[in-house]
Parts: sequence; C-alpha cells; structure tokens
Amino acid sequence: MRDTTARSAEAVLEIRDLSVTYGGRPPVRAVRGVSLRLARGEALGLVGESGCGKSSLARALAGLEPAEGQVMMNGRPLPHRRTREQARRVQMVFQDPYASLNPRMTAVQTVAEMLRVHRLRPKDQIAERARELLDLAGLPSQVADTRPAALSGGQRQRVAIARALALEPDVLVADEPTTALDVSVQAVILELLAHLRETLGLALLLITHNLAVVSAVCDRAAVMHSGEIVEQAAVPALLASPQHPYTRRLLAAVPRLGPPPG
Amino acid sequence: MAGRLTARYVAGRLAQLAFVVLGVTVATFGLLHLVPGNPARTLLGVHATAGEVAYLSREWGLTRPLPVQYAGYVGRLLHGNLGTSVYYQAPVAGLIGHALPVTLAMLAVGAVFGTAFSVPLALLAATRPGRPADHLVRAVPMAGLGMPPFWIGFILLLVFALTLRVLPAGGYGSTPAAHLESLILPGLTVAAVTTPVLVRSLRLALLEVLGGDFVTAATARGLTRARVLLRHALRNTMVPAVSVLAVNLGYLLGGTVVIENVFGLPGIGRLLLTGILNRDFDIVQSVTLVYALLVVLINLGADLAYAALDPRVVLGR
Amino acid sequence: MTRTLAAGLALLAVIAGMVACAPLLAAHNPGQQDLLHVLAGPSAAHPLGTDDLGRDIWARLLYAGRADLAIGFAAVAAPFVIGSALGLLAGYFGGWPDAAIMRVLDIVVAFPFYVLVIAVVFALGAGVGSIFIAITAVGWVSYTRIVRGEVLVAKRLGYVQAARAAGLPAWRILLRHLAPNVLSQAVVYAMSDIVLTILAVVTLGYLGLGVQPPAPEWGAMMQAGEPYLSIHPALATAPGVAVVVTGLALSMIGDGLAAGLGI
Repeated sequence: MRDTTARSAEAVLEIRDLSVTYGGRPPVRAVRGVSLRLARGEALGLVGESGCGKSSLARALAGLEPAEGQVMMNGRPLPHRRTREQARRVQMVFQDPYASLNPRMTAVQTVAEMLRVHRLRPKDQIAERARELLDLAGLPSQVADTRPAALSGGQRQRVAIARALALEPDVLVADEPTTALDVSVQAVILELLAHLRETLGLALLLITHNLAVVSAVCDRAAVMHSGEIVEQAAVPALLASPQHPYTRRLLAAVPRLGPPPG
Repeated sequence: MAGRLTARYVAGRLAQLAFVVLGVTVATFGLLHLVPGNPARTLLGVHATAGEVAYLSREWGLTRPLPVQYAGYVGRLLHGNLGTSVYYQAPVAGLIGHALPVTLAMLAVGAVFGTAFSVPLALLAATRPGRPADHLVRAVPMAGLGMPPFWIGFILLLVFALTLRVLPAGGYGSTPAAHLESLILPGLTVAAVTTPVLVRSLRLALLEVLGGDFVTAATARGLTRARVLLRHALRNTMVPAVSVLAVNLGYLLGGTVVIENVFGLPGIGRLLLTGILNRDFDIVQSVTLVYALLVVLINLGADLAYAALDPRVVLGR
Repeated sequence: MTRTLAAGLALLAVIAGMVACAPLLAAHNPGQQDLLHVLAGPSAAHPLGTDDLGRDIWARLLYAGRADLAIGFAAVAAPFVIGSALGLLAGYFGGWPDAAIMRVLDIVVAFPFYVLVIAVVFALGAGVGSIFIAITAVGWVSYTRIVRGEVLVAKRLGYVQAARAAGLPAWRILLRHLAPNVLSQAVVYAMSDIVLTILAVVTLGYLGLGVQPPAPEWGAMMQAGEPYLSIHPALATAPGVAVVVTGLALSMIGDGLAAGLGI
C-alpha cells in the first residue's frame, strides 16, 4: 500500500486547503485554505473569536455549507452532497439548545427518528435503543418522553448529543456546546463530551472562543483568525508558549490560563 | 446618507417591473385560453351558432399557435390598441380613457377622507395605550375588515342619499361641481375600506416612534407635546403607513370595482362589470390589464419614495 | 384563551348553529313564493317580512348562511395547502425554485384581488366551482409569503441543521420538522382569510357572478334587494347584517388567535 494511504488511514478526518465563500457583493471568504487532521479518538479544540470562520468550518465539515478544497474521511473524499451513509459520519452539536431540538418532538422521538431513517436498528428495537442513548447522554429517564419546552438547557443539550450519537459518527463537531448554558451546567456537559470520546473512541472537534474549555477537554488546539489557522499545537504547549501574537492576545484575555510572567 | 435612491436601485426595480408587466400580459392573454375548448365559444357564449364560432376563430386568428397569438397581442398593446368593444362598437382604449379619471378621482377623494379619519384615530389610540379610547380604536379594524365594501356603500346610500337626501344617490353628474358631489359617498366608502388597515399600522408605528429616543429628546428640548406629535412622530410614521397601504393596494383597488357599481360611477370598475355582463371580452381583458398596471406603477412610486426617504431600505428580497 | 377569541368562537358557534338548524328555526321553505304577499313588512308569519317574490326573508337568510359559510371555509383550504407547500419549497430550497415561485407571485399580486377573481370567474363562467378556482388562483400568494418567511428563519435553527447534517431526506425535513413549526402563522392568517373569502363570495353573489339564483345566498339577496333599498330596506340590509356579524366573529377569532400566539 502506498505511503499516503497509510498516513491517511491514521487520520479519521483530514481537511486539505478548505475554503468557504459566501456569495454576496462583495463575496466573503469566511474560511481561507484551512488544513487540519483529526486522529481517531482525538479531541481537537478550534479556538477563535466570533466571526473568525470557525462555525463556517464546522458547517462545511457537517456538509451544511458548500466548500472548496478537500475533506477526507478515513482516506476517502467526503463531498458536500453526501449519501445518507456519508452524512452520518460527521455529526454536530449546536450552540443554542433552545433552537436545536424540534419543539414538536419528544426526546425519544428525536433520537428514534435518526435510528429509523438510517435503519440502524430493527424496528422493534428502536425505542429501546433511543432510551439507551439518552441514558448514555445522561438524560433522566423520567423526561425522555417530554418535549423540549419542558427541558432545561443542559437537558436539551444532552438530547442533542444523544441525537448525534445515534448515528454512530466518526467525528462529533461541537460548536460552542456550552456557551448558552448556565456556568454550573457547562462543566457537566464538557465532562460528558470528554467521557463519550474516551468510551466510544469518538474524534471530537470542539469549537469554542473559550480557552478554558479547550484546556479541560482537548489534547490539541488550533487557533483560527480571519479564516485561517494561525497556530496548531498540543494544548499544554500552546498554553505554555504560544507562538503567534494572536494566540498570545487570546491567552492574555484569560488571566488564569496565561503563561506565567517572565 | 440621503437615502438609497441610487441608479442601481432604480435600475433593479425597473427590471423587476418590466418582468412583472410581461407576466401580467401573459396572464391577461391567458384569460381567454383559461377555459378548455374553443376560445371563440368562450367569447360568444353558449348560444352562438357553430358558424359564428368558426367565423370569429378565423377573424381573430384563434387557430394560430399560442406563441404567435401572444406576440400579436403584445404587438397590439405596444401600439396602444386595447381592442374593440363589441357592445359599444368603440375602441376600448377610448372607453378606458374616459373611465380611468373617474376611478382615480374617487381614489383621491377616498385617500383624503381616509387620512382625515385614520390619523386622528391612530393618534387618539397611540397616545392613550391600554385606555378605553385605545380599545375602541383597535376594534375599528376588526369590525371594518368584516364588512364587504359594497355593504358600507349601501349604508351610506341609505342614510345620506335616501333618508337625509343631502347627496346624490348615484351617477356622476355633468359639471365639475356635480362630479365632486357624486364622489363624496364613494370616497367615504373607499375611506371606510382603507381606514381599518391604516389605523392599525399607524397606531403600531406611532407607538414605536413615541417610545423612541428622539421623541423624548424633542420633548426635553422644550417642544410642546402637540408639536412633537405632529412634526416628529407623525412624519416618521407616514413612511411605514404608506408602505402598508401599498402592500394592501391590490385589495383596496379591487374594492373600487364594487363601490363604483353601487354608486353607478362610470369608472373602470363599472366598465369591467358591464364588460362582463355583455361578455365583451376585450373590455374585460384590457381593464384587468390596466388595473394591474395601476398597482404596479403605484407600488413602484411607493418603493422609490420609500427608498428616497428611508436610509435603511435596500433592494433585496 | 383570550376573551376576544372566546367571544368570537361563541358568536361563530351561534351563527353556525342557527344556519345548521335552519329547517327548525324557519317556518317556511326558502324557495316558496307567495305572490299575494310580496315585499311585506315583519309579521308573526314572516319575522323579517317577504321579498319581491313573497319568499320569507328570515328563511332565506338562514339557508343563505349555509352556502356562504360552507363555501367560505372550503374555499380557504386549497389556497392554504397549495400556498403553504409552495412557501415551504421556496423558503427551504432557495435558488431557482424560490425565484420561479416568487416571480409568479409578483405577477399574481399585481392584480387587485377582486379584479382577478372576477376576471377568472368570468372566463370560467359563474358558479361555485369557478369561485373555488378563482379564489385558489389568487389566494395562495399570502400563504406562500407567510410560510416562506417563516421557513427562511426556521431553516437556520439547530433542529433543521441537525436534520440536514444527519442526511434526512428533504421531504422528511419539510414535513416533519419545518411544516409543524412554521404553519401556525399561516393558520392564524387563514382565519382572517376566511373573512376575506366569505366577503369575496358575497361580493361575487352581489355582482351576479356567484351562487346562482334562486338558491339563497347573502350577496345575491343584497343584489336582489338593492332596487328596494328606499321602500323595503330589510331586503338588502338583513343579509348585510348577517355578513357583518359573521365577519366580526371570524375577525375576533383571528385576532384572539394571533394575540394568543404572541404575534
């Protein structure tokens, strides 16, 4: 087997020179030639301020936005228009838990729909599996049959995570999953994501503006600025000795995590 | 910035207009071909003989392919030829030329009355939100929208023409003074149809403006409340109110057809109905076209005025 | 439930109950002529008097209500379904389907409502079937506009994005996820649209293009009563009052629903 294939096989997801451009006058290039690699079971943090293009990158990975460049999944190209089987490879958890669930569907229905459409379980086992997934995501079983209106923000985010897990994806993209939550709930949801990654061998792309979140969950981090990745490093290294001036500015904004003076 | 009335905006708006006008002619052309079967039969009605149908089909070129017929129709329109009335034995363009000013005059009188009714009502309600006056004024649209225009005409006719005998019951008179007198009741009816829509939007816009900073600032500068209301609040309210009226124009203008019929006013609405009763196809087709052009042009005017007045508006959908 | 909504529903229930029980409430057949007692004033036998053919106005009023209410409600169904479906498609897919639908919409709204309805009924011939077609041809645009606007907002929300990212088929996203959440505005509008539709039916009847006589219908009754406006006003005003009260009831329901949904 050729060398390149072997290298790609290690990376569950590889992005080469990816660009996202929004039409309009003038067109906006939200993501400019980004390249990233994500290994199986790895948690990569994508950090940047709002408007830096990190959400556009996430949406492109999930097939929600057409993009130029290449997305490789397990060594095979993953196009923008995906088959159902391809679509399930990358799943997303969104920022706003109050908009991310269909208000007319209960938690079980939301998860079960994914199982049914993708035929991941025989018909008679779907409901059971949906409850299992909700349980895995830490949703109390008493509220499994309630609609989102009766759930708290944290509970909704658990349902959204269970919905993503239902498709047994290779990559979970979480776009600011805790930003809209109460501080007390944020840590619990982050722990849940870290736990799922370990137990399921899931590759996690965690998008956030918050370096504290990255340091809690991720192995590696990429810093994004004006549509480009300006720096990539292991989290401890990035925190200890940031190379790019922009990274230093970001760190300076979080005193607790800043490099020790001197 | 003094508005967005740029050359690009106007050009974009005119291109859209051209497309809509083209589509409108397709629709009026298609009217004749809406009915399955022979259009000549549609024109002549069920009592016509087969010979008459065949003659008309030949005469009008109804046997030619549709695109050819349509091209002929548009060519005819571009020469100002709106067809010939079978009933009046006269060019339709001339008939519309006589009728259109009557309709426009009625709309103008209606607009004056409508403004005279809705502005005070909206001011009354918006300055006393939640109070009885406000509730009463808010009930106006609810009651008004549930009434057919011709019913309002009936009531006015019954009260002012038949009971009080102060105004003519119908017709258009022959002198300018008589014209004006004949337009009062129809104008009031038009106003009764527009007032509910206007009051509703004016009240909401006024409430928003009255809560805004610059009214507070103007009051703080020592301007009297009445002056603030009239000079500042109302002026800022007219733009949204006019655009609401433009959006509802199609409904309002359609109501004039029936109102003209109630009062026997010789406008284009009445022309349309006589055309229908006499199965005078050219009249129906051309008056329908003129109505659509009227809507399109008034909307264009409103949009351009809006763009000139409001710096925030941008062309888009 | 707001007071307006409750009052509107109660009023509509009374009207609907009365027209439904027309045979019980009216002593006469609406078509029964009595040429010896034409244009009679109110009496014990004829609560609202008789018309120019000696028919009982009260009986005709009740039976006419059946026609107007039934046609009004039924005629809203097709524009609602077609307009909402087009709005869903235009809003969700964007691109050329959106452009095509919206350009056709631009053309339809260029025609004044009544003018187009009248012209279509003229072309098709007067009658109930033509009314349905004409109102559908003109009425869908409002639903398309409303639903399209709602979809443009809703399709950016997480639940639709998640459904797309999961590779759910478009029809499923449209029917299961978007439709149930964006149609409430269209339903509220449908209530006020029923008012407009009943008014249109009545107006067409008044112009002689609607329900054909001798079948009783409010608009046709008003047309028939118009010549007698000065000597026997009940002929034209009784159906007018019926229309106004019905319109008021439906407007109150629409307003109450809108307020209840916080629109």
